Amino acid sequence: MTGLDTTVTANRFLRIRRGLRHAGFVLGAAVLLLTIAVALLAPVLAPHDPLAQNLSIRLLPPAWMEGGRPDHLLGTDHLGRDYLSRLIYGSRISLIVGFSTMLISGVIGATLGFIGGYFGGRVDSFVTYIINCRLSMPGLLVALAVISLVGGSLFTMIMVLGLLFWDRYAVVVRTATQQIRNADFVSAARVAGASAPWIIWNEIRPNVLHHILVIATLEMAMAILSEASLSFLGLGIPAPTPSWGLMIAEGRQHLFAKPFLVWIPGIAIFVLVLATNLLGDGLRDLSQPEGRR
Amino acid sequence: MTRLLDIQNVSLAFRQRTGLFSPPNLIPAVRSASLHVDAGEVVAVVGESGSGKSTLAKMVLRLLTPDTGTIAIDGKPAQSLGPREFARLVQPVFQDPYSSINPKRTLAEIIQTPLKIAGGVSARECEERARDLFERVGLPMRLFHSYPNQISGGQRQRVAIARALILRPKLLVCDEPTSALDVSVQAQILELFNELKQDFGLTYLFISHNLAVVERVADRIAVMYRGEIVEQGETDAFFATPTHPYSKMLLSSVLPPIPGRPLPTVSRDFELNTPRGSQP
Amino acid sequence: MTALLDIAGLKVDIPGRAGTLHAIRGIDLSIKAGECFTIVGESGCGKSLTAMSVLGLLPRTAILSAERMSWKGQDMRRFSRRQWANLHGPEIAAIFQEPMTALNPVLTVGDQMIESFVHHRLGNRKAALARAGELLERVGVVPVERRLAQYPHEMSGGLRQRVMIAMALMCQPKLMIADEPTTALDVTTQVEILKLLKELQAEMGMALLLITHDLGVVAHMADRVAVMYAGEIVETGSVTSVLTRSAHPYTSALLDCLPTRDQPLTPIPGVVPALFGELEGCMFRNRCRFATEACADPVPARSVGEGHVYRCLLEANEVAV
Repeated sequence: MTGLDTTVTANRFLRIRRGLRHAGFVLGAAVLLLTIAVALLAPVLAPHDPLAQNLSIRLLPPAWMEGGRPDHLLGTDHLGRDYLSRLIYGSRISLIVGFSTMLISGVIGATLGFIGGYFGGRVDSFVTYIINCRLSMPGLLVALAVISLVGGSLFTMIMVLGLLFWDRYAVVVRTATQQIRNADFVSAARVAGASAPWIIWNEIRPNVLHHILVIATLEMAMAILSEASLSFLGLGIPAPTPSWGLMIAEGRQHLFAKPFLVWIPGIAIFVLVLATNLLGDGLRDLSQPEGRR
Repeated sequence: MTRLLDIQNVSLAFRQRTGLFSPPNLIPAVRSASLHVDAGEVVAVVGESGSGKSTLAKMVLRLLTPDTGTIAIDGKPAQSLGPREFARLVQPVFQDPYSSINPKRTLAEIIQTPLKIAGGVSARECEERARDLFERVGLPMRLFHSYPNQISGGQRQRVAIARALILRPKLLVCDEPTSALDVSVQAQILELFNELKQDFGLTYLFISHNLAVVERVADRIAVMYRGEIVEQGETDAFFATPTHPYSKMLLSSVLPPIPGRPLPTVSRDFELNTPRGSQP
Repeated sequence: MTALLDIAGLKVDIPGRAGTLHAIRGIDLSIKAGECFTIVGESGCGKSLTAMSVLGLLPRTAILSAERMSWKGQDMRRFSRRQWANLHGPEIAAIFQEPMTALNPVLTVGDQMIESFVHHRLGNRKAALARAGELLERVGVVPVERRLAQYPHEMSGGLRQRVMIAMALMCQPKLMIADEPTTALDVTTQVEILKLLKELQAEMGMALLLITHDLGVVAHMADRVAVMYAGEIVETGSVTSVLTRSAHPYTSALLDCLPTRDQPLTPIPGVVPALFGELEGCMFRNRCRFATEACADPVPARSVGEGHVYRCLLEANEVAV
């Protein structure tokens, strides 16, 4: 059986090997995996309890600056909480929001896209109408409004972002589905008696998957950034849970005296979002040759 | 004996939307076409672009619904057949080997698709049947788990044929199955079609624009022009003495590989009598 | 009559991820003024690439080498971009298979047609339009005024192909290269376009390099024909000798696998070998029923009759037609 199966593994192996040559993809994936590892191992990695306050050592600078202490590598915030620990735990929030939003909006957007793209006609007109409605709304402002009404929490944020940020999925999936829908192999499946859901799942989805993956990574980056922005405005994760956006907000008052309170979480957000974007770009580049014959 | 395929007075017009408030334009694709195919026959439908032959094929495959007229398969109206019943009677082979098989699936999976859709067969038996057909259509077993981008156009067409046969249909509707292939590959595929016809007791509805191919494979011919079947008959009789002016025009345009002859004169006079005659 | 185009030992290699593709492996080609020379072969044989070589339009990564490659005596191998640009239009023009992609969809027919004429300073815009009108009339795209103002998508495939031909004739080229010009057209339209090409050839004393896979087209159009297989020309000669007295097994196999009523269909078994790595000997040997061990060695070019050359170890009359 080995001879028969080598071609299958060869295909996947070649793809992985090609992936490893793409700098952006590798960098993005590495940083993302690192962040995930940090988030998972937070209880082990964090030197202190992120919520433990100690007013006697408040506003300590990072260890490499004058006045810093080695047991608080990144210093402490205005309530004396260890910054490194808060940073590490903060990664959890960013990643949870990122992944959850990506999944929820992905399911909603892709489903709408498949339905509109496959059925065409009136169904598609209706789907396009829904997409247009969504596109005419200023996403973040709506999120702000809803959260101010309902109150901020992790769950609310994920729900609001997930129910709002599906438009890119829908548009891309719809267009891709429209193109594939007319392919002969879809016609062959129809003649063989397949139902529309069967065709969408088995014939169309595999050909659209790479588009969805690319959008997913980019949406995740957006979600992380949105969470940071909302938390910064006080409408996201409520204190004292460490969120990078919240940390920036809390550090704002001490911006001139203790700038590290702002730029440390700022850099963390920047790096994670950049990495996710690089990963998405890399995925897009890598999936191109598949499009060729 | 019931006819395997019986098309009676079938018409279809495409609707083109002209604006929010005006009625759509009706572009006739097929007009009152009647054609029948008996079991074991090869009936070819020939015509050029715009003749409606592909549209007719799609109606037989139930990919399009005729506006008027009836299509009966094995005595029963095509519309009344359930999806599984229909699939076991009629299967397609399409023109473009690059779009007729799913690029993201292995050849093994592609061939088994109709059987998986129909259901009721164990995974092991599905694969066994697929392997048998894979070999039968002349593909080397080492390619069984390959992807379409690893094989040639002719090989893809063989995969499409194997897929079409896995449900043991009675009628194969082939829409220009060799037009996108090289001449030498075309010859291989035509030979395959012939062998399979004997072995599987198949009947073919063969759509083509290539008269040389049709002369070779078809028992009967129907010529379509601008949506109408303008002439039908036994192949030999047709090639010997075509009656309709368009048939004559078509036949005179065939260029045999024999040097020393001038290019034929193709007269388009009869077009003045048919709707919407315009220079090609 | 001296040759307009004289090529000997043309080789084109295309480096890629899978290795270097030896797309063209040493071909000789010469076209005289006014003659119709056809290259016939199946997909992947290198015939389109040959046309691109003559036009200087090879992909940038391609490596071209030739013992001789001259246009009216000038060495094309040393041409600069400007020299190639001067060639396109007044010396060599081309028409391709797919008129929809060859014509610019956002320019009117008139605007496209005069581009080359004006660029080569053959006249001002008015003179260019006049000539365009003349040519459109000649190729049968009427009414001229209306057509000049139309866009490509407003015309049928046959009309677009005629427009392409007229466009190619604007600067009165000495050689027209037509790469599968009728493959995408209906058979009835094909005959008309081919007739048009033949007439224009006679009227303008123009040479025609016709590239096709269709032996019927070859039979009706060519003065001389070259049969290409796997990057090589396996047989060249007058159309009559090559088609009726084929010397190379591939040529006769190709003729045999054309479907005809009476003869049994004999397909050519096997597939074209991939052109990577060290390639020696006859590339057809894995599919040839006359193949022997000697075929693995380099095969010399042999002559049978006037101007009829082929690459095979067999004697010409051993190949059944």
